[in-house]
Amino acid sequence: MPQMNKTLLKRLLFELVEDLVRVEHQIETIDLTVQPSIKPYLSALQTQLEGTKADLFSQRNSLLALFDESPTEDNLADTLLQDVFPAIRKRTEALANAIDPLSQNTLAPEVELFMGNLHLNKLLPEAPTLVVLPSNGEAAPIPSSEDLIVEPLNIRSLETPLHWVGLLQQFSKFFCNKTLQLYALLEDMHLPEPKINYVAPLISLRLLGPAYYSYYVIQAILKDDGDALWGVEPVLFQGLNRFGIVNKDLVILHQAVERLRQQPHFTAPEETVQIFGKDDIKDELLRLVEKVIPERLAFTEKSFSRVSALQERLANGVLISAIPSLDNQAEQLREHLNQLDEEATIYPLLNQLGEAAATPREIINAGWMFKLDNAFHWLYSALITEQPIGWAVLKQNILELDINLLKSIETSEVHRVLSHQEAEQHMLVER
Amino acid sequence: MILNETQILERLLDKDPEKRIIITPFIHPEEQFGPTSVDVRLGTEFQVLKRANLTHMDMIRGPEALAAETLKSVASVKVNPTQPFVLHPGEFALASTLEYIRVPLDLAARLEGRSTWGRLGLQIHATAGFVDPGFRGALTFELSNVSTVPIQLYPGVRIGQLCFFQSVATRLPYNQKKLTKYSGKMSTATSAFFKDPEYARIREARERIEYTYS
Repeated sequence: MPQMNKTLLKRLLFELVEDLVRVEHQIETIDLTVQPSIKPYLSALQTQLEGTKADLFSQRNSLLALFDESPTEDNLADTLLQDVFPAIRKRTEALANAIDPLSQNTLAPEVELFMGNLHLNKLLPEAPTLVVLPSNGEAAPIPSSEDLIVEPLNIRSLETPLHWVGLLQQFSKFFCNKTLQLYALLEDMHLPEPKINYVAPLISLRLLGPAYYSYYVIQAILKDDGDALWGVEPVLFQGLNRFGIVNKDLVILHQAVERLRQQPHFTAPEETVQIFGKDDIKDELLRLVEKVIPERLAFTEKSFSRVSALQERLANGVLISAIPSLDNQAEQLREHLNQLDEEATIYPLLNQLGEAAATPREIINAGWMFKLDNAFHWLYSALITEQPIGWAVLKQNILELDINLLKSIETSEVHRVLSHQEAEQHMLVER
Repeated sequence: MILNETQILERLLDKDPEKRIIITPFIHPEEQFGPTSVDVRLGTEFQVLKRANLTHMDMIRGPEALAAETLKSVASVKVNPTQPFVLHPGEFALASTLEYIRVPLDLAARLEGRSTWGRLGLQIHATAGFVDPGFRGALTFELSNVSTVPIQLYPGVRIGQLCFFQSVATRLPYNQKKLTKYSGKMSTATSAFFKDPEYARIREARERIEYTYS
């Protein structure tokens, strides 16, 4: 395994911790009134979880070394990648497997709003029905067909909007196969086989924006997927630039992957390295994607500026169901208000205060940008703070982000209905 | 002093983020503003009591048991934006504002019903209409139907109004209070009465007395 730099090691650590937080939350939220007899079992799981947390924090000094400026030492990366991280992952997975069958988590209805917001039926008139089903990762293969795509979603991700960006992968492949124009153009392109594996992520990127880039790259690092990191990541990042999406945290993530690629032990198929080492193939692929996905359905530079405004609100713990028009116009409106004489009506001014509903896609992108920006700070604070307070604050940060995103998606739907904007899809849940 | 519409507007636009009132989503301000108030809307989540297995609320039991019982005896209902929640005569339900609200430290607020709904028999709070300086989150409605016919409630309808009052900046903002229970909640929250320390004190006293006389 190549020596991983500190940025990527911290990303991996955060993903591990996030997973552990969600397992803990799953254990804590089991409704014992439904099945009181399992209480001792849950207590046993909780004890195991506390042990896993204690082991993680026993490595505090090594983990804190990830946050200083010095280059990564070989033995630190080796210890983390070969011992600490796999051990935590294995124990988290064991706990997850134990709790999943008892879990009362249900698929958040907001997932339908998110999928509806992508307008896949406008993209492909004969789009198959897309059904999202809870999965514990061990279910039998779920059949997909010409008119039905079944996307499994991990039980711990049912109420985690940030993970929903992975739900489009099968659709994107289906889209590549069914779009004749794209299919024909791909025929002439020199790409490793299967070509679809290199194009489908670009389709998802065009539809989902930087949230997809972040999700894809982190998954590729977790799976140590050399092909994805060599063949797809550079094109995805170039795509972000081409679509006008510029953000420091995305650049930092890309640069960390670039440094990883330069490592002598980094392995990727030779053909992939040769083909994607050239810039022209990236441009050609991106032009192709722009051709088949019109701007009106794509995540654009304009969408990203709205996302940046939402991200600022998230940092203040404010609901992000609407685009904060006031923050930009406040000064102008203040002047306008000061100039009004006493008898003048303020209705024209009030009209300008109205906010526009954010879309689920924008809300989830804001969540990803917020996570990229804050994850390291949260981790560091948790590591330098006395336990259990450090862990509790970290957990609160992670879970509150989920709550805000879910509530924002739901509220934005009401907003759209009331302001005559097109509603995505309705939900009705009784718990 | 109660703030008028221009003063509320000034606070919504205040340069200083600490002094700014936040109300979001602000969907139709021209419809929501009154001379001394801003209308607020109904959210999507409701909580109703499941009474089938409930004889009474035993306030003296331990907080863990009470929390479990509260969870057991409350049903959450979410409705979509075009479907109503029906509140039957005599029924009580908790709900919350659609809006996230932030009250600066030098203002207090009061949640009141709108006469349109009062005329239909809808009360939007039982006793807790006061909003402390420093409050942030969704406000809770304690809905009661005191009429004789069921009332359909759609998410997004304006059922309440918020008035703001000038205060001297507090040193005990709601979100930093020692015993704050509902700060930062984004949706309908059930009563956390069992977190009030009085119950622990009464419980201890009762145990002491029972011990003395046994």
